[in-house]
Amino acid sequence: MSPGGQERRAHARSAGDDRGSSTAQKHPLVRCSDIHKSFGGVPVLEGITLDLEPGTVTALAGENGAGKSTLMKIISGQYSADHGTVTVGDSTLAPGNTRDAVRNGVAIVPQELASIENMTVYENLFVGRELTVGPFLNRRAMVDQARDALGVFGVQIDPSARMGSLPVGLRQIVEIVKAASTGAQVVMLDEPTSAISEREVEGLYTVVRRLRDHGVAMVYTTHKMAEIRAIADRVVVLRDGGLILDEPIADVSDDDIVTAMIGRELDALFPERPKPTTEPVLEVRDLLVEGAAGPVSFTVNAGEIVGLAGLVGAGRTELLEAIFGAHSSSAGQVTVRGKTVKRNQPAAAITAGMAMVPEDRKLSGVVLSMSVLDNGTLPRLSSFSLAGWLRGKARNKAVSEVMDSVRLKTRGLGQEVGTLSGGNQQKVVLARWLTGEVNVLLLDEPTRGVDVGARSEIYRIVNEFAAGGMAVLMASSDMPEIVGLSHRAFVMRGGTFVGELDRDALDHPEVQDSVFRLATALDSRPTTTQQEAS
Amino acid sequence: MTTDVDGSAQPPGPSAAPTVASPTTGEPVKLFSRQWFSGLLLRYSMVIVVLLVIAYFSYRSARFSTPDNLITILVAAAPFALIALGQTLVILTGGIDLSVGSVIAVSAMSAAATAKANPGQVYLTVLVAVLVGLAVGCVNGFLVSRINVPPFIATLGTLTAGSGLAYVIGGGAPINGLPAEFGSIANTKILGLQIPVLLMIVGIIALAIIMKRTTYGMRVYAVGGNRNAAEIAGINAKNVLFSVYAISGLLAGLSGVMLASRVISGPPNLGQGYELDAIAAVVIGGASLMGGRGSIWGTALGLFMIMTLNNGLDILVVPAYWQDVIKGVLIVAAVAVDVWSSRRRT
Amino acid sequence: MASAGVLGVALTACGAGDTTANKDTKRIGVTVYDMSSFITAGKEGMEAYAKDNNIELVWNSANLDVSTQASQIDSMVNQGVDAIIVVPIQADSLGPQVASAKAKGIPLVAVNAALNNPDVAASVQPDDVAAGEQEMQMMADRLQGKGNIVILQGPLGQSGELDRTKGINNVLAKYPDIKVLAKDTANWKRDEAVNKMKNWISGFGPQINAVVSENDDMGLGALQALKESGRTDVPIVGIDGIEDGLNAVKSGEFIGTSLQNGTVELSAGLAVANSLAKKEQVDTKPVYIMPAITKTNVDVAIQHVVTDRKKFLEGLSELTAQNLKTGDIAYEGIPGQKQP
Repeated sequence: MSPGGQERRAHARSAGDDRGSSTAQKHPLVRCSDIHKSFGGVPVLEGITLDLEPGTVTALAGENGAGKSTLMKIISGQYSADHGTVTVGDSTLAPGNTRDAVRNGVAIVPQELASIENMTVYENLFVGRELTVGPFLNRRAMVDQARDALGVFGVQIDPSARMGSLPVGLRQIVEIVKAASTGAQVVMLDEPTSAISEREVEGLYTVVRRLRDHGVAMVYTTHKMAEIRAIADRVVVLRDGGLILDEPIADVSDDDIVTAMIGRELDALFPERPKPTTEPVLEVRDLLVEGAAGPVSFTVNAGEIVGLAGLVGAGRTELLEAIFGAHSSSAGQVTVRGKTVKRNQPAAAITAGMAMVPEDRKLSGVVLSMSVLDNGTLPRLSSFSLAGWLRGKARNKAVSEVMDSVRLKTRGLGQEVGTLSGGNQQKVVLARWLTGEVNVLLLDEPTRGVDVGARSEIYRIVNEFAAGGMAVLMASSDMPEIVGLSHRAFVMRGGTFVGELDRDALDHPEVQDSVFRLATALDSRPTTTQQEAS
Repeated sequence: MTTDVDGSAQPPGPSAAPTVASPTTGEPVKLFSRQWFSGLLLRYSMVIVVLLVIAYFSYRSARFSTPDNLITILVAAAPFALIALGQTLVILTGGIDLSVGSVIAVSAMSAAATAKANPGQVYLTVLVAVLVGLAVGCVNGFLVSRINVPPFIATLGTLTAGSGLAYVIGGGAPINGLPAEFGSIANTKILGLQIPVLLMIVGIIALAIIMKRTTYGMRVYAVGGNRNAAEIAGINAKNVLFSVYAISGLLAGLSGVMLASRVISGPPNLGQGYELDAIAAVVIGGASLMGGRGSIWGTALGLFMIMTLNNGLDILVVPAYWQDVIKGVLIVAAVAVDVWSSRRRT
Repeated sequence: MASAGVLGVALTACGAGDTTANKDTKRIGVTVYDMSSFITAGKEGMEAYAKDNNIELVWNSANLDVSTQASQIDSMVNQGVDAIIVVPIQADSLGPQVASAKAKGIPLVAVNAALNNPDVAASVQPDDVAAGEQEMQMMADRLQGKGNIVILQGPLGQSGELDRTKGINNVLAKYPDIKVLAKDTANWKRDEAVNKMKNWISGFGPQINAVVSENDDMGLGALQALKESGRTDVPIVGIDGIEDGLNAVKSGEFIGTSLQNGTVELSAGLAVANSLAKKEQVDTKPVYIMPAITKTNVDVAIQHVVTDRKKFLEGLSELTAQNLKTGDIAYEGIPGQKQP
């Protein structure tokens, strides 16, 4: 970090921010020196040197596998570096020792969260530093202090509530509060927004800013540009084990960051949309999904990509699943190319040419322990088998053709899908449907857990499907994705449609705001409408 | 699937009925409402079952519900209680201790051998048994916490080695012809209760307090609930794991000498199969084999149910194999109810 | 189970280690149901006989698991031992193993408990039916034909249990005034018997007049339970004559027992197996008839089994050889036994 850089940073932040004296410090709080780490001979971090200053928010960016989590776990003592040291203040941390790190004021909130679900909130807050009276726990004191600590962050939760009964976003806040209340000087958050809903993200940002204002050095990993811009003071990019970029946020552009992350210039993220036809492929009439407030009707033509926007819980996944037959529906009709499809029977949906890419591929998309070949064959087992026996050669040929067409990077068809990157796993899920005729493609959060580089590939693939005549229905929480990929979109709430956005509405600069208002019922206009200039 | 769960409390309705925390989910429900009742039923299902069982036996036999019979049940329960207590701690950390049956045998035979060689030194025999049990427990603890051997495998290994060791100690034979004072360990009464029964009661109360009211107890639950989280919070998970296996071994050693003393004999197959009853008691008592859930009182209840069944079914002269069928069905049912009710909780 | 099997093979391998490579030495494999008091005592007799007769014993215990016993026999057959002695867990088991031993020409001898299989080369069995009858008769006489009894049985299905129960029932049929309040298994184990008996005491209280136990270990457990309940007046009868049982007869806590001197019986079985291995002519179905032991002759029994055991073992080989000729394999000079 050059002195000049620091000056610029202080300058950029001074406008309107209330910081306190922390900016005056020039002495770094945490210094990582020349960190090297390999797993099983594969190098993950090669010579990382990084300083963390108090009272700053550092975004640690990079694609999946770039080493962000590994670096954090080395600092927190969960892993030990093969080479290099981590110093906090004047002391060097003992490698691989979480207790030493905790003692020196380092705290981490892991991606999968470190909550003990069956214990209460206050127990989670105090585990490891319990308050006692003699040999016994002082539960009353812990409850009171927990309530106070949560209150400081503006959170009203009953400290005696079971941790597992809280939604994910609140659990995360509790863990951050825990980190803060141990007097941690460094708080690291690993992919903090990956598990929480959009509504909860603002709450998270508030907490992060508050901690920063108290002089804590905050670090969080991400691969979403919006997040980096939202709260970071500084961005550090890792790629292929090396540190590529380390600049104050004001000094870099989005393109700079993306280029640093993927190592090449990124062409337009979204390919040009194909021209939709007027031939209806998927027709949904008065479909009443279980749990929805009312019936749903719409049509998707061949070559069309229709987006489903809305908040978590709006019922988008349920609608997709109901069309596919995996979620119960009690009335209505689903037609594909004129032929009615029996509801509540996925097998019937598949025969009619429907394909489903679910939200959580790990749970319901792929079998992680099976190979690419096996996963590729799953949806159409019968067409690859003769009297119950799998036809090897036919299977191999079909699957490898299809995987090539999506530019899947694997060591071979025998590779376990669980060992592929997120983006490649998603490609397997998509591609396996191509071994047969697909008329309708149902996508649920198609790029969740997929980094920037693979994202554009996925968009290209979806576009090609549409161009080939498929009708695509896509649910997404990523507004840029909806805007960039779909021809038109519906906004959902309570399982029904509360708004329709045509092309003009989607291109409107305030689209995100109007979608939010529709989705949260601040603006209850239940029929299709043009977006008015606000 | 996406669901929208609101963590904030619901405002009370306009009616007069107060709200309380649901016994299963902890979220507010109206007192005496249907949800309150069903929550209560689920949470205390095991207590209800035990009460029903007791009621049935009392109805079928007047001799069942007498104080003497209660003592009989407690005396039979005592050796199982000790190992069930140790097993509770181990299962709370997400592990399992299959070796307790062999530990009972080895410690019993060590105690018997000591008694034969040193007649009159009753305390010495108890000490030997406890130390032997502790030693095996430490081996288990070391394998699990330092070498990271999965608990199932590690304790299966000590189970097998131990059962062989029991035969080695006695030269292949049971150790009989023991001095009569050896029987005093199990049969001496203090305050009207036999020593093993007292140990059981003291053990249950002491461990219940330790588990719920001390930092050690909280850390055991933490390590079992989410080891990673516990370590991140700075807890030495390895030490916690080591300690629970050591305690389990120690209690099994104590149980072994109690058992041997009751029959004044040191058979090498003593305690064979007892680990299953201990695990059953813990599971029936509501513990999860994944760790982090369970309680000492739950185990005590589970054990009491098994012992009551043994006793009642014998009084009604139900053959031994039927007893096994009934016990097996009950364990499966208990776990099924528990899994089902925990799914409703989340 | 697998690890027990491995232990079994390991034990076999250990046995193979100390061979005095002598062409005349016969290698005889043994598998027993468990190391009960009886078997453990009997082992000494076998070893004494083996020493004097140039036999190498390969010893295995099956821990009451049928499949373990089967694998132990398989392994012995594979090693090509000269004969196999089995004390089986279940009467209806080990069919394939018996067949494979026969096919390889290895004589397989069932000792102490029977196998329901016509292909065993020999069967050296105690007359468990007679023993059951004997003990029930002792108790019937003591009760003077009237009273309530409880019966403690062996593992259900084992030939010992089946036969002793049969014998008990044979005698019970003659005494309509003797009522059986309860009967159930305590698996030959003392600690199981204590709990079972205590529960019966809870259930039946003073109604229990006597305890008929199919072996001494369980009878001793019942004795403990009765003592704990403060009842010292309940007669108990057992079978086997183990050390603690004989002492109980001497002290009057047992009214009697039937002596099954493991050393004598098992060495007789070994002698038969050895003869078959040497291809000699021998009675393949000798029967061990248990002498009744009461206060009058218990002292002699105690001498043979406990106090002068060593001396007894020294003379055992000769006694066994003699018994083999006369056919009375149970004879050991206990007052009451007929001199052959």
